[in-house]
Amino acid sequence: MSKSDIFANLSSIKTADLQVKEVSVGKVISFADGIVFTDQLRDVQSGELVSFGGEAYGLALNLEREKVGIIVLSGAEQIRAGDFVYRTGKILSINVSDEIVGRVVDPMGQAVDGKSAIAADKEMFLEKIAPGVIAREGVNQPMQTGIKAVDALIPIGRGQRELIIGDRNTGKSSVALASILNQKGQDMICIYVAIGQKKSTLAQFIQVLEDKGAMEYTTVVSASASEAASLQFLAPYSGQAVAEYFLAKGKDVLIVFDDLSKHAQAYREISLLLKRPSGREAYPGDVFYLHSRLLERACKLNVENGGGSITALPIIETQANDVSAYIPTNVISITDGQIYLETDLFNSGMRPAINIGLSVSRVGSAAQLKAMKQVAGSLKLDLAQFRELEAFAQFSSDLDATTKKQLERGKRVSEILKQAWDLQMSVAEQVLMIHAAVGGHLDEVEITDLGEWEASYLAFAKSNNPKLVEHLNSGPKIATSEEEALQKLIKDFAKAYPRFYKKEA
Amino acid sequence: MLQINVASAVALSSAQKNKLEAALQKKYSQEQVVFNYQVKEELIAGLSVSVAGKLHDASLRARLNQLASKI
Repeated sequence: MSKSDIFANLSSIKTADLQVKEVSVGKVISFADGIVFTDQLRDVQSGELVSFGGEAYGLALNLEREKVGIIVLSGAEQIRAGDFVYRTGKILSINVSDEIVGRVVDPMGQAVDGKSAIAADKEMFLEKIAPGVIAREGVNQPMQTGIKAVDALIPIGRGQRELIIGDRNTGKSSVALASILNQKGQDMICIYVAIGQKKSTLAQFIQVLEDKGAMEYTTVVSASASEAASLQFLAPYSGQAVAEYFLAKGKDVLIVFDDLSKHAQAYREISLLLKRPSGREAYPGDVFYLHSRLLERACKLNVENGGGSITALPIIETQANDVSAYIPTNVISITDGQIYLETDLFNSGMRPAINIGLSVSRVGSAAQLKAMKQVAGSLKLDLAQFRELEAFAQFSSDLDATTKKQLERGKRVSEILKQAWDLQMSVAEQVLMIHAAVGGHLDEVEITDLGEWEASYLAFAKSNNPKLVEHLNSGPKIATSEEEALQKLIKDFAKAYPRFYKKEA
Repeated sequence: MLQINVASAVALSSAQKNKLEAALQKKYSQEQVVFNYQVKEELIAGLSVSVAGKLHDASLRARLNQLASKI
């Protein structure tokens, strides 16, 4: 503190008007499992931050005739029976500034990565009503994930909410991670909200982000498994508050909630301890609203409102592929589509293990790039035919030539959708590969060689016709001239690399 | 019955108690009141009176806290 500060404070001490005011207080009558019940505290608001004195704070959730139910947010060890509980008159909010990018914070917005404290710029409310229809516009820009199967078949637009759903160990977080990694240089802020995860898993995740240079535009909000249920419950709202800070600046934001099953469980724990009536699977009655109010805050704003967007990728973990359980059905109905991951596909080597048939994107194709839309149309058809024939072909051994051809095509098309999690593909690369597959240029290539073919072909294309690649990256419709260039490229490649092709070709 | 909780930094003498009780009786004349006294050293000096969920904190601690939040 400088001298002038001290003198400024001296005068404010002199002029300070210290009066004894009547304030509302309650007394702690019980404190167990992170829940405090107090008597009185009559005029407290629902969702108001309350103080237990010192550094101990709580959130008033249950307002009843004789008592108030409060979840403890901090300083639990200081609370004693009989302590006064004071109103603060504040609704829960966190301080956000641009400095939060690249940091790991807890749901209260405090840094937990051991670096310096984050400066405060604006107070963002954790709970906020989502932007109305007047402020919004249709989703019209793509959010490229860099995953072929997703960008081609289940395209995600900026401002969309796309659920990632699947059993444990099916690569749900990897899809989200790949999407974050692919936002490098896309002028996108990413927020990863980890709810109820092991700290070791999270540390690994952050390490990957750092190694790939993705922490430069990413904020991690962490409420790990060791954190109180109250913090796990608040974490996604904090993440959303951070996202809204950047939305207000007209930025595009990608937010990942990993995962909302744990979030629902944390809220169930709180609700049961607050003695709220339980419903199906012991979840409280408002568990739908819990997620719908969170995901409604994902939006695409129109130009008059800054034109920013929040794209949300919530993750839900299912048990034994049961998507008809309570929380999965809820979140499926809230979101604009889902990416469905399956253990069987994962184990059979199909990675990402996306079940194309069950995955949908309800708004994405409106936001898909034209070139991608063009090639993806036939891709969908090929895959649909393949799935139908595949089941049929198991019964009959002798198939006619057309069917056989369709099967072979389908196998190759499915094969090229495989992709390593850490391999981000640009639009041009994706279009090149899908174009080759649906055009039948891979029919002569052995399935086992496809991985190698892909790498060689993409390298070949970039060195032989960089102009075309650049053009495809910007994503306009593939005109006849470009189609010809693509055909020529593939023919040249076949000549240059004859080893990939069968003898008769 | 109305409970009036009085916390003070040092124990009050009976003269002080009588004075306080007389004043508070006047304020809550329509009800039957009971006084509970407590010594809380953390108040540093002064009194804090709580009645039915309302707190009048006239302790030095409360004023210091107020001051701290103002500067």
